Amino acid sequence: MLDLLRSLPFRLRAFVQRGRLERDMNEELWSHFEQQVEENQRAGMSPEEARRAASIAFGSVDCVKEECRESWGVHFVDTLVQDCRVGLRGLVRNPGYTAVVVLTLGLGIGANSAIFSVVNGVLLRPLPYAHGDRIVALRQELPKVGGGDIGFSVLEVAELRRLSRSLDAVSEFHSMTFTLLGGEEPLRVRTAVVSSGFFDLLGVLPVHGRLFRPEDEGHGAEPVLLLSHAYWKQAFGGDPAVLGRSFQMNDRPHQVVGVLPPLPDFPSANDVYMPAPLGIGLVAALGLSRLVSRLLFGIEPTDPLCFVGSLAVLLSVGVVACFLPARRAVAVEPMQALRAP
Amino acid sequence: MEKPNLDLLQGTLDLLVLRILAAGPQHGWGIAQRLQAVSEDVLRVNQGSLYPALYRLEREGFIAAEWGASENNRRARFYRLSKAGRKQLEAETDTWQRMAAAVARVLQTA
Repeated sequence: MLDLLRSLPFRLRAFVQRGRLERDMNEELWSHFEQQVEENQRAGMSPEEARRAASIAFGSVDCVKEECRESWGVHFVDTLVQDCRVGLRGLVRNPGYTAVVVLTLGLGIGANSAIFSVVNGVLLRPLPYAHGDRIVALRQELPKVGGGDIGFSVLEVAELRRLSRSLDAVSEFHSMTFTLLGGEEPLRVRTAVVSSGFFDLLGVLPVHGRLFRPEDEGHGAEPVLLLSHAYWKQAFGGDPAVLGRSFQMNDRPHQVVGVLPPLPDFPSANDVYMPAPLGIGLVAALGLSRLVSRLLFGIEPTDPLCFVGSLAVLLSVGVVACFLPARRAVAVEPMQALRAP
Repeated sequence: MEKPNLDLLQGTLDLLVLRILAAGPQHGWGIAQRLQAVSEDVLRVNQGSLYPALYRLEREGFIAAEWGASENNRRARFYRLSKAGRKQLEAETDTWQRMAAAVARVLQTA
């Protein structure tokens, strides 16, 4: 390896300046031959005799040249080129096989890059929020009765907030479609209903106006709205004068208090945001809230307790995974196993 | 012309070339002549071995080549020992001497 490294500059030069190397070699060998001729003549031979003797002494010029080329260490390049040529000719001769090869490679590369772009977007790149790596969405499911993502009740949210020690903050989030009145025509808007602290948790600052305040959640509070950046551009042409305008929603006037910056569609894409009413309201009744939380504050992956804990979980899962099928296999009588189709 | 001609052991030629170049820069023809003269015509090297050996040594960085004019004003490629070559020469000489001594001992006593 070290030898290869040391000879690399020469090999590279030999590869790039192949023609010059070849010329140098020809000239050098020729010069050697001429010297021999001269020497022979000095020893008393006639010019023709001297030339003949020198030729004999030299041997096959092509052989010598070939051995010289070999010692340049660029032979492997020639061989490689030849191999490639043979391969290409083979591919041209068998178009069917070539098609299969190209298709297989194409599909493989395509699938890989597609999977990578998804993994990169979904898993590798953190969310562009403050503490994007610590934000999690909580889901509650009832798999036995077929209830996927049944959400949380208001009481459950309150309990989570009160009792959870691994969650730094808990914020409600759910999304539904409302009709917005008061513009030129009625508009269906995707509406996110969130806790007042939702945007503080994400570390988002408004482009215009303000965010929700805790008092927006209270009973009898003036209903307010925040516009998403995309919707503000699309429906209001990015006009800051929309601040303070009132729109009719759910039979109540809602005032626009702010415009959000461009945000990723996480947890979902929305046009407007409204604060979740405190206590028992529409949200609680539907029980559809999703929770966005900042998880595991102060716990690092290298934390020994955390590490040992995860190890123990993995170990017990492994043991169970081995033990259960093993026990079943043991429990089956051999005759039964043989009779089974 | 027909003098005793020993086939050089693999690697020995490299050592001898390095030793000759240690005396000063020399071209291919000169190296061959010098080798023949110093070994009193016992060691002869043909072009098919000499030039590949020179290129190999150049590739390894033990010697460097430069075009220049020979004694009789012919354009010739002069080889010169590099620092790495000098070290290699020392190491190889040492190896060779130990090996020769060992072979001699076996021949004398076994």
